[in-house]
Amino acid sequence: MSIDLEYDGVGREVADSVRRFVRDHDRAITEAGGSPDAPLWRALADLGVLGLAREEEAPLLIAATMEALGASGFPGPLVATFTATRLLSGETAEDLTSGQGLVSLGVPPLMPWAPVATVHVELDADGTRAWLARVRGSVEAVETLAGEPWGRCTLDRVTDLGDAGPALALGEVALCAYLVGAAERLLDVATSHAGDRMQFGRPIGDFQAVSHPLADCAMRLAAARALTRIAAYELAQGAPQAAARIATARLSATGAALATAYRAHQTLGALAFTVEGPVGRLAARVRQCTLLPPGVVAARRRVLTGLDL
Amino acid sequence: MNPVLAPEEEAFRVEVADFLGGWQQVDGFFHHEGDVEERVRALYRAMGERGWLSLSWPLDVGGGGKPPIYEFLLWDEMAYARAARSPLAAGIVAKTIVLHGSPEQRQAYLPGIAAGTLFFSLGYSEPEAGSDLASVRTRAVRDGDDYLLSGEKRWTSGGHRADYLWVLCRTGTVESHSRGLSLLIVDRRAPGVTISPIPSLDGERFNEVRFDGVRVPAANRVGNENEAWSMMIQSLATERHVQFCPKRVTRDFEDLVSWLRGSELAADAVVRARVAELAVRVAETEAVALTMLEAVGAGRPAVVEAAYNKLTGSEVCQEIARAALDFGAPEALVRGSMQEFLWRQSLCETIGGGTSEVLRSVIARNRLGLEASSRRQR
Repeated sequence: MSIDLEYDGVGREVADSVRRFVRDHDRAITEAGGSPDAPLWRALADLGVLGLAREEEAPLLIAATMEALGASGFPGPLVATFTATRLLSGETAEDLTSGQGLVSLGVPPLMPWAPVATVHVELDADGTRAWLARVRGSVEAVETLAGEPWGRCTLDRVTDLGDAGPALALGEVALCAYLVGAAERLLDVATSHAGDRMQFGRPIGDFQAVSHPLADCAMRLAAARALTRIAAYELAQGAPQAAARIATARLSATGAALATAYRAHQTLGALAFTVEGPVGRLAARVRQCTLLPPGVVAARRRVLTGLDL
Repeated sequence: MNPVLAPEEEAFRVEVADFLGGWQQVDGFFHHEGDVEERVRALYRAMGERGWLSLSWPLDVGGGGKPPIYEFLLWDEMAYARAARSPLAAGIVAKTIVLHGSPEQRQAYLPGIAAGTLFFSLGYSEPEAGSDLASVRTRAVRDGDDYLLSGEKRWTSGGHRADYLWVLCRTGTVESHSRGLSLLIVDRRAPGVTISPIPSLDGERFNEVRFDGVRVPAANRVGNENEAWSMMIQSLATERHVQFCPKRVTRDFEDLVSWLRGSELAADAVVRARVAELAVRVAETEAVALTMLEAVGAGRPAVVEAAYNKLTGSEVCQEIARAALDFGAPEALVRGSMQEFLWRQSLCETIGGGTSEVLRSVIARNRLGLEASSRRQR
């Protein structure tokens, strides 16, 4: 069999159904801002997306799905849900996969989604161990860059969930795919604007000062997409090099997605600086998602470990 | 999804790597002059005996009939071992002769090229025609059964070693642009051919080649008169996948890491952060090469993917070489050290075989649909 980087079989079917879903819910997704309303989140759960971490070949299914969700800038704790449902079991996990509950997963005191979450999972600072936890006292609510409801709180560890590594690896593949999907959407938006917007009597995309940086984005995204898919494949195979590959994919996807987001801002000019415009919301989501644990510094460490340096 | 080589492809890759184990000292990837020349020629002959210089030529002209990925694997391993680069004769020249050459031309040149005993050099660039090859001025005027060739080629790599020059020249009117070009095979030793060296920063040489009324038999024209442009586009398409070998980058990076392992620099946090970034860039180079192989394997033209491959790979090999000097170890400055050599050598990688600027426009046009007006002008 020759080299083939496309998702196949169930992965492709799931991705197709998610693409249809986000097209049908385009308005609700856009209007949700940083936080999906309960019907939208449950509709995604009804599609089976939130339970994918428990499927066989989960890395490939999740990667295919997240590329499609990323392209719409779908809000909500998607990555955290995949990570948590891999760590948890029983009713708590059911609660999350059904979309009835919502997870807060992070390193206290600042916890994502804490004010609205029904399940809290604490990670230690270096992302090696996880605990099911309970909020002690009240949550001080804050809003983040991408409009997500986070909160500062104190957690009491209730149940040791053990080694968080495999679940975080799955979450990181999900994150990479989401970033790639979102950045591809941003590149599409920027490219079509560059082709349509007339200045000096010609489309601005005729100017190499505009087109060449976009070409660089296309190239970096092609690399990040390929690395993300290879990482998903290797994680699904249980390959020994998967950990280093995922770290590489994370750094590649982070770099490519941010570069594309900034380039989209520049290409659309003032239009991208508006709240209603097609860039601001997606770019903020990209920036915010790139900070999800275990983070790029940890990824760099893992890359160096892979080099035996 | 399948991101790995098929078993038979992997077996071939291993076969090439094993073969190269016996050719450790060739060192002909970066160097060509002096003793290297003889060693490289011996290597080419040994490859010729295995049919590796005609691996993907069609079976009916004596080729191996293998899919293009085999050629990629062959030259990629050669690059990793720093043994040799693909001789232009076996690629662009031979494939154009296969498609457009006369039966006599096939008979005269293909066996020697396949055996690794006959060499060509490309006479495309001129003082006034670099990236814009459609503006070449070297002129061939018909005179009976011959052409009289006059003009000047420049940056002609390997011209002084080649048996023949593969010359792009103007046979149409001055204004004919890409529609008035022809390809001639010119004997390097023919009267009126003068080859002068232009020393280059990597210790090797380019050439300036002057043609002063060189008499070239019309039978040496490949394809029809004034139709060279489409043949060149076509031959480029058959060679895109071996234009830049990503394992050259892998090797440069591995050498950098092993150099650092033996140095106290390896403990420096700034150095480590930079190395991690480079590792990601190297992985990106390998990943875009896979997208190119995917496209080539599926029979797609791979125009964009090959541009990604060359653009990323050439830039990353510069990043690696430049980082090695950024780290500041004075030993890296000593003439002949790998660090200072790669710093010099890698400068040419973003120029030769399509500049990065041209490649970005290729991507802008073919992947993004931009720069539409500049395409209309061509």
